[in-house]
Amino acid sequence: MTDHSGLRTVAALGLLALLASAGCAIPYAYDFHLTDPRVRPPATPGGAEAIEDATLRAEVFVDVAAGVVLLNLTNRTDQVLQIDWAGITLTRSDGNVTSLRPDVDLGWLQPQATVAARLVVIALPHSGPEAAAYEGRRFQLNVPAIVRRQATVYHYALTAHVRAL
Amino acid sequence: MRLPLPVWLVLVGMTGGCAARFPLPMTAAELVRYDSGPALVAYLGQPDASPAVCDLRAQGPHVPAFTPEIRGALIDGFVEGKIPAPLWRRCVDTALKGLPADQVASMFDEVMLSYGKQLNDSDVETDPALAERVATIQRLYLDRRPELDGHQNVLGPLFDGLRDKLAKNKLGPVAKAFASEVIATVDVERGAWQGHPVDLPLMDTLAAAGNEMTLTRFAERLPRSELREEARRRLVRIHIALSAFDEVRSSSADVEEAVIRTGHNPVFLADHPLVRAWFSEEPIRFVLVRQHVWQRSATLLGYAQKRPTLSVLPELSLRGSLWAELQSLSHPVTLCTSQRALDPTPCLPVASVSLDTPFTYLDKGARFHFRDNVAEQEVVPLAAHDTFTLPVALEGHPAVSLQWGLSYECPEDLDFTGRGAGTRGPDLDVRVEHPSQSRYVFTVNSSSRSYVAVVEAADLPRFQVASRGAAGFTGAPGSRGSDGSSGGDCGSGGDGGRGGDGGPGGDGGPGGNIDVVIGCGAGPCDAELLKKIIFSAGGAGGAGGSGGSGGSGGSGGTGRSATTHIDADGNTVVDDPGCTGGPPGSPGSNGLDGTPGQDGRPGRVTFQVVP
Repeated sequence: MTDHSGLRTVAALGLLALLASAGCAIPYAYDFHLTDPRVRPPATPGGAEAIEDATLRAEVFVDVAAGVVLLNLTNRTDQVLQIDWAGITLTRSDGNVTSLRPDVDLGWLQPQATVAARLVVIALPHSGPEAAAYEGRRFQLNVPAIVRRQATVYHYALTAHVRAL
Repeated sequence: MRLPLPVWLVLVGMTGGCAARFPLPMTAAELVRYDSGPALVAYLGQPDASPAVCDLRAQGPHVPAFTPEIRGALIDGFVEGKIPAPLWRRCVDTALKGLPADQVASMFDEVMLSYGKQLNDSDVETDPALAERVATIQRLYLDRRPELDGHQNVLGPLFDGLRDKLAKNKLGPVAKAFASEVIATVDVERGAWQGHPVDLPLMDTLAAAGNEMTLTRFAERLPRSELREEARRRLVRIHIALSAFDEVRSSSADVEEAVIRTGHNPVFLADHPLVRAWFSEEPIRFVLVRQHVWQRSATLLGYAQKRPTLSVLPELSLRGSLWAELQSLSHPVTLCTSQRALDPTPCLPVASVSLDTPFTYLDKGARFHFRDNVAEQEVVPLAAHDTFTLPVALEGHPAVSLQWGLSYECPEDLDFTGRGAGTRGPDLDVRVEHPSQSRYVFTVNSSSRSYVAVVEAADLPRFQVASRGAAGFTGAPGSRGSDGSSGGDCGSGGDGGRGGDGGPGGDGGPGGNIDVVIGCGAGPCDAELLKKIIFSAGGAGGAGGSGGSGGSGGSGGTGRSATTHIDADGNTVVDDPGCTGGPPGSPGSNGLDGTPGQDGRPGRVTFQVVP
């Protein structure tokens, strides 16, 4: 056996091993739910849950496959409402904090206006025990804003559920 | 020499196994002594580690230079997950401020090449830690000051590669999101935004929409400084429009000029006297003083209630946690933020704040750092207090205090021994102070020097002060007995001689005299226990020399065979009947062990209890 053919054999074995291990990794899908007594169910099946107070309505949907958090915000006040788009974070249950930013630059919300933001990036394991371990994990989406000239932070608690595909 | 592959693998494995390990917690001063990349990684991996060690301009201890070895270790340590992302970012940001231009470019080259590798790793789609590292490097690069960058011949191909992959849709959603933002911002550096040149009408449109994100890119990344300033002005106007301070909105033109000129809207106590000050988020730590009594120094370490692991003391950022109510201002104010934030909110200049303690210094970023390696004499006065107090002053006026828990680790015993075998222990003057109910301070003067130790009352039974005589010398060993002589033909061997007796051991030295004055200033003190733990002791007598072993007996003489001859008549005639070998001699007896020396006597110890 020449060196060249030896390498080919090793590569073939490696590929087989890779395929075998990939075959063992169960793919998972994620569902995130807002955990707040004020939460409103999605308007359509599989849509975004909503939560609102006197100043802001937020619809939150986490799309793990696309690596984004979809956040629709409606300003319920009579003044412009500024979101600190560059300051949005996602706190994980282990305390790690991930920054999320809209995939296009956004400005303030006029009174009663709605803006749809695709917040990037959220990277989560798609398969195997790493993904399964996310069952029941809690997250908190933190959205800093200036509302009626006062700085505030909206916190949205989320719980992840995973299911094998 | 060429080595076969398996040998190389073993060698590489061994090298990996020899990765440097460092005792933790490691203070900033200790890091400087190690002066290596792995030490920097180990330091930054600790809870509460301060990135000030990365600041070549820092007043406090810091790495002396960012050599290629240290830069490489810093990047590798981050990629391997040994340094938390926020701390790594701050370390590199801080380092960049103090590096010469050529090293800045090299740092960006190396960091961005690592970025490219990680971004092109398909795991970035599913590995949260990897995605976080990519995001951290991306923000480091995109938020850098305009004059800082890597070498075009290094970064150009990296960005070209990303453009190509974006165009051919070769990136997963996560990598694509990262790459899109980088490329969009690189385009701003060429004066374009979304395919159009950046001009004032575009900025006005963005300002009217309150689009701080894009204006911030323009303010930091546009190639022409006058356009950057126009972007900054529009950002300031947005911030003024949103300000909670009526006085800011009513003097918008003046405030805008102040913020454009200085980056801040500072206020001073001369114009707005202090009403009160407070902490909104008081950082809680417990300070542990580790004493090095013989070196007469101490190390300040810290731990938190939720994190009992001992580590270094944290830096203190008072911005956003220290608040002051000032006369004729409509809202409380805190310390001014960074100039790049373009914040028109009235704020206290960093220089107006001071901590009235010798254990801290203030850096340029409004953060206080602890001097964690201090002289023992500096920590002794703290023993009188139950807490570690950090008094904060504003423009020299006492404003508010931070109170942290304080404890002293039980120090090494102050145990003095005579210096040569059998010598007397040193005479000691001991002063015991009781500055608080929970602590004792021992000051011990020997003839040459003075040593101090602070001991928690709970640790008192585990601590001692002693003057000991030195142990006596060990007696000389006895000589070995002479060996017996060998026997001649057929003769007996001679007996071995007796071993010599061992010499006597030396007497132990007497303990030194100790005069103890106990000042029970803070109330009743445990004088009986103090009398047990402060003592004089004689040195142990030296052991007698061991007796010499007896000489071995001489070997017996050899035997001899009989000899004969045949005479003329044919008879056998015995010429010599021969003999058997002689017996060996007896071994000599061992010598006696020497007598041990006498134990030394303790010295005189006197106690005087004073109020």
